Amino acid sequence: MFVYTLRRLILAIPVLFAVLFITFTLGFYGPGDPLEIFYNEELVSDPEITQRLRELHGLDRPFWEQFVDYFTGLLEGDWGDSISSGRPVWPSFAASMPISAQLGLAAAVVLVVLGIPLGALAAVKQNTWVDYLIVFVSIVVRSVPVFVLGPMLLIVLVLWLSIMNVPIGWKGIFHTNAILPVLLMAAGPLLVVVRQTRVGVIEVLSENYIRTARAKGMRERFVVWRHVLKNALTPVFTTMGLIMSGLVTGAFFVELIFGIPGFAGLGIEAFQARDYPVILGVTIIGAAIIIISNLLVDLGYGLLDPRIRYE
Amino acid sequence: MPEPVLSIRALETHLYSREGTIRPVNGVSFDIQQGETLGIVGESGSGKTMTALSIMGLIPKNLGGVVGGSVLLDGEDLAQMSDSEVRRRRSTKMGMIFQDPATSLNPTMKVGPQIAETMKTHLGINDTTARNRTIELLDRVGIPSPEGRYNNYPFQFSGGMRQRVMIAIALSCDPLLLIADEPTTALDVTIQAQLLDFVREIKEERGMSVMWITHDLGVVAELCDKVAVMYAGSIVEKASVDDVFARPKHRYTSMLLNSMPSIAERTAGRLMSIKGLPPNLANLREGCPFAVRCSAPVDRCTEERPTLLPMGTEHSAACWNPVAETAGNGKM
Repeated sequence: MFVYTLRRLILAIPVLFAVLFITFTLGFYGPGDPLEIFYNEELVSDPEITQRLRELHGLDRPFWEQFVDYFTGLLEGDWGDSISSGRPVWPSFAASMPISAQLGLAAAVVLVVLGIPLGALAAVKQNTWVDYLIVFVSIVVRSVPVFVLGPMLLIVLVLWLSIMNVPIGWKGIFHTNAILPVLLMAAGPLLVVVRQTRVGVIEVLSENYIRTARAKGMRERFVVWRHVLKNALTPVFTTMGLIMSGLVTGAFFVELIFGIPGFAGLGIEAFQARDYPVILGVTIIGAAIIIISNLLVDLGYGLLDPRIRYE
Repeated sequence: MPEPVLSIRALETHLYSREGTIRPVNGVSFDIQQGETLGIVGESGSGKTMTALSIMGLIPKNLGGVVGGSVLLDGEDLAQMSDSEVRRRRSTKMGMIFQDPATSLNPTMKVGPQIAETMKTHLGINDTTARNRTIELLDRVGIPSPEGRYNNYPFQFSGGMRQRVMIAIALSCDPLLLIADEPTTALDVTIQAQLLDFVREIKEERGMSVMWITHDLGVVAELCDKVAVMYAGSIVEKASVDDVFARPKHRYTSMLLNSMPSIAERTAGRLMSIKGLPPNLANLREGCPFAVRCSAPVDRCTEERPTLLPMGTEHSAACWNPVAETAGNGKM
């Protein structure tokens, strides 16, 4: 298991390098650069000054020189300076990442705590109104976009019912302000988890070993909790891994609506401003999170299914 | 004669499908005495397994269930009981083993706990006692080094060993009746022979009754005291093993026996087969369901459904034109 993990982590290095290289190349050869945008937005009026700034940031140098420069900096732990703000990139990552990670993890907990029992219940009550209701509600919640659902919830809860103040800004994950963002982030993927669990449970319920468990005279609730769920959860677990990496890297609309200084917002701003060091950093960190969550999913299989062993 | 352990009368089970109601068990009656082994034979789809599942109350509610008749187990009618009352009698009064040992155990749960949880549910014993008893049971069913095996997963067991684990589960709460649904079909012959010996041994040791479902007449001859032959959801012949093999009365039984390979009659050439297919259980026609495939049908066969008629001591068959005494082929 340790050797397996180590090998996977070593294999991640070329992947990360490829991600870095491709992103860098796209930035270099792609249209526009940060100073052109400055110029267009009339932040800089003189083309001469633009050219000077370009030289100052080293953007006039050849591709390889710039790439090697950035890469060696990265190896030394230097993520570069933001072109828009002129400040080092890392502190803003360090500030926004924990926020997005906490929101994402909290949303994942909500997904598991809500999605798995609901999916299992729908499966056990297959083709009854309970099943239809659960599936219907999760489809509705899924179909309404976050930028509609968010403001709608705010209108209902804040303006009509007045049960909360406008939850703006980040005051920690345990502050009531975090409830709505977390629920909104969980709303979309909830359908996936519910449906996956439902299908898995229905499938396992018809397995021979479930008949054995019933023939033993186990209580039905016990049969479902002890014999069905663990066997039904492997596909759910796979999807959770995929959802997780999306959640942890942030949810742009949720951050925007609630004014949360998260990782996704940082990325979007950087993309708009062609702020290369920030774009590169965001991409590499995002890729690393995806790699790690995939590794965790694969390791988790071993816990769920004793037949899977890692050498 | 003492009260039978299991006494089934006019059992009827329906399954609901798109084509309509299927009647896989259609008025089945039989008794099993204490310590007796009843073999239930018949081809696929004749209702053997559905009879067993009806007794156990294991037919999923959304598929169908028992609609008529009585199932007296140890004097109590299971057909009249609530689900939880039937549930409490599984393992304690009746245990069941299944056809496919490869899929009958939970693949993600250790073998020991799968046995132990049965006893914890029904006998109210604590973890340590359940564990110790499980290790004893594993030892009893012939699993070597049972203590180490307790923590193994099913995939670490061979097919024969898994079936032994299934038997350990079924025996764990000392039931009066063991229902075995073709438990040896998926195993190779040497393992099959070992398992049959073992079941016979444990049956005698505990004075347990056994209902053994099979399509293998060889197994019947080796293991059973009595035989019930099923066709299209009904029992068409009931008798002692000796009578069935020596003096089959129903045409189906005799044709079934003739389709069995025999070392003695090796020179006979081609093996007999019964032409045609079993009838569609969704719409059974009037008359004997076997009439169209029968070797000697008479007019009455297509008009009136035969009922079980006595044909000797504890021998009955549902046939309007039974095989005459001299025609018995005496094959064994």
